[in-house]
Amino acid sequence: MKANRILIAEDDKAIAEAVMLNFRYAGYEYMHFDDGQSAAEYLKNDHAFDIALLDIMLPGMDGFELLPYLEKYNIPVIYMTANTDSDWEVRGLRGGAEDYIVKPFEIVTLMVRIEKVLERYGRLNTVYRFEDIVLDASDRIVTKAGEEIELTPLEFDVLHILVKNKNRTVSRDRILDEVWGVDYFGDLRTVDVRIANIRKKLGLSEAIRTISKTGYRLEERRK
Amino acid sequence: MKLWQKISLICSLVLLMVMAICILGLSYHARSKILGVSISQAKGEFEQLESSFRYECYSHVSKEDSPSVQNSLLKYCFSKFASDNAQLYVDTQLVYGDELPSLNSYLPFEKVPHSRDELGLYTDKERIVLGCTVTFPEYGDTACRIYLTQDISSLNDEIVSMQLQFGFFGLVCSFLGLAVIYILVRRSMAGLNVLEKAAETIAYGDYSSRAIIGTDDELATVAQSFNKMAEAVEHHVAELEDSAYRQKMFSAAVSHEFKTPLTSILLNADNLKNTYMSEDEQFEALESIEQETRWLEMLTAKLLKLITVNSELEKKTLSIDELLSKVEKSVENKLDKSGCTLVKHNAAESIHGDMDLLQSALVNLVDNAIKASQPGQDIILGAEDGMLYVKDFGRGISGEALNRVTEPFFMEDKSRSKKSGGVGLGLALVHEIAEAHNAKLEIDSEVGKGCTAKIIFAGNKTVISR
Repeated sequence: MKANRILIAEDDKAIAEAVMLNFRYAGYEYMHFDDGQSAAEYLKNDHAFDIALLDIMLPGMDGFELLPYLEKYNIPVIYMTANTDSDWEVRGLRGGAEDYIVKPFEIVTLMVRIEKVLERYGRLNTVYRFEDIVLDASDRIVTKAGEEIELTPLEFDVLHILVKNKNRTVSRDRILDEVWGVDYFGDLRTVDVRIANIRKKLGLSEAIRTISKTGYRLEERRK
Repeated sequence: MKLWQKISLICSLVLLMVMAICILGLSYHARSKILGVSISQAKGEFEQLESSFRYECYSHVSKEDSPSVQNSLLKYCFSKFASDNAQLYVDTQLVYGDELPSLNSYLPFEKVPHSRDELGLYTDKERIVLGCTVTFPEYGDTACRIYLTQDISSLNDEIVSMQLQFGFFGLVCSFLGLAVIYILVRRSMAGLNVLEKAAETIAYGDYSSRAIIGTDDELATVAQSFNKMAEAVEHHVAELEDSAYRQKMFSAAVSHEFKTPLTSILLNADNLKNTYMSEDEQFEALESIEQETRWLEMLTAKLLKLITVNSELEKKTLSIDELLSKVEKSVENKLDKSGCTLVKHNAAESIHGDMDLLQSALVNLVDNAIKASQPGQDIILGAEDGMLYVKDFGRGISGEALNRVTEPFFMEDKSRSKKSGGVGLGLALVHEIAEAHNAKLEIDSEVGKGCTAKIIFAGNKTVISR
């Protein structure tokens, strides 16, 4: 399965770059446009995008006007805007957008929403790679250098989160919430136990870094 | 109960009362008139009977006749003229006519007068009874009493039926009158309905509604005043709505302008905290945070200036030469960098205004002129009778953008403006400063040929020419 490809149209360079940095690390491919017109032009020749992230107030052609160009190629759209006016949100969603995210937002929120939309469209890449480790989320198989490694379901889920958020800190709370469920009021150390097992079984003792007071981060080794 | 209903009801009651009184009075009057006619008819008949009888008696009865003969003669004389309803009594004895037992109670014998001129008269609903005593002194002391009874019961029936007719007629007239009153009152009150409807429409928020009344009575005057009021309300509401709309647009623009740099600051901080980044990437994120923070600081300062224009205003008479020199000095650096030349054209002496604010306005205009100009081009900073102006020969502004340039945060080309350090508040600020001086900001421009921004003062006293 190929990496997911994202179209991003945002005129503020600083915002676009901060977002794209995370796309890069999460293993997404992306194309950035800083006005609506050029995005629309580009789509005529290349429209192999899995999802689009559009600012509404774009110069040239705004996000609302750009939507039909993306619908034509069945590319789901997430709007992001500084406008909190609910009229806009309704207009955006009614117009056919999949989601609407208000600035300022958090990276985690954006990433989760992108993932959910991709999942809904059955486009989410469920095969994650980290060095020589391959995690197939749909078959629930983990291999290292081609050999299958036995993980308990909980260990698999914890690793899944870490791989999905490659290079980003994932808090223990979030792991607990996503793997054990929000109703589980267990000891945070139960996470640490699984992490220790994963480190041992996959030889990731260095790559999974403990971030003090927060959680864990799966870091790619720099060349 | 509605006013027109009240008025109609009161008018109707009054009408009915007047009608009833009239009918009663009329019928009473008619009754007595008819009765009077009957009485005088009866009297005439009676008098004729009496005088004929008296005359006859003189010619037939003599003194020598015995009382019984006299009686017979009297009876004879009477019968010649009397009808069925007449009676003749000699003393108290009935000699002619039917015995009427109640006659004595109507007109007792002793009360029947002797004179022809004052007849005894009795009336009730059924009858008129006339009576008089005739004496013949020549024949002795025999007293003849003549009675005439007129049955008027049929007359009474007629009067009753006449009264009923009057009543019926009166009722019909009253109902017609009521209908007319109803229609007239309703029509003259129709204006009130128009007013009410107009007021209601206005109350529901349609301030353009007016009351139109075609008549020229008091209601029309009220309607006129009402319309004047509605107009004033409409005007004020429109003003309020407009100012609220502008306020809303302004806050939306402010919030957008703040949220964009805030978003990138937060995203970069988030990345620095949670993402495993290379040193270069970390540096870039920090640099971005720094830039955006500076941007926010500048935005805040400009906004504050824009908001406080009116409270800062301190008007004095200023020398225009001094004002223009100050402006030139504060744009010196930017002029040097851009390679443009500032040319001053001063044709005025002094101006009444706030030095700092006017300077700030002109600096903003020159700033814009520099941004629009190519290196080597001239920028004219001038003063004339009634206005200050800045003229450049640069890029110019398109017609569509020209209408919006004074809107806060409007930028014709956002990416270019941001690179040259504009926040999109310059012209909005100039506009505010001009308004605080009772002046207008006018911008003329042609794409490719340049742009002239003028601050035109109302009244010639503000700027005094040489």
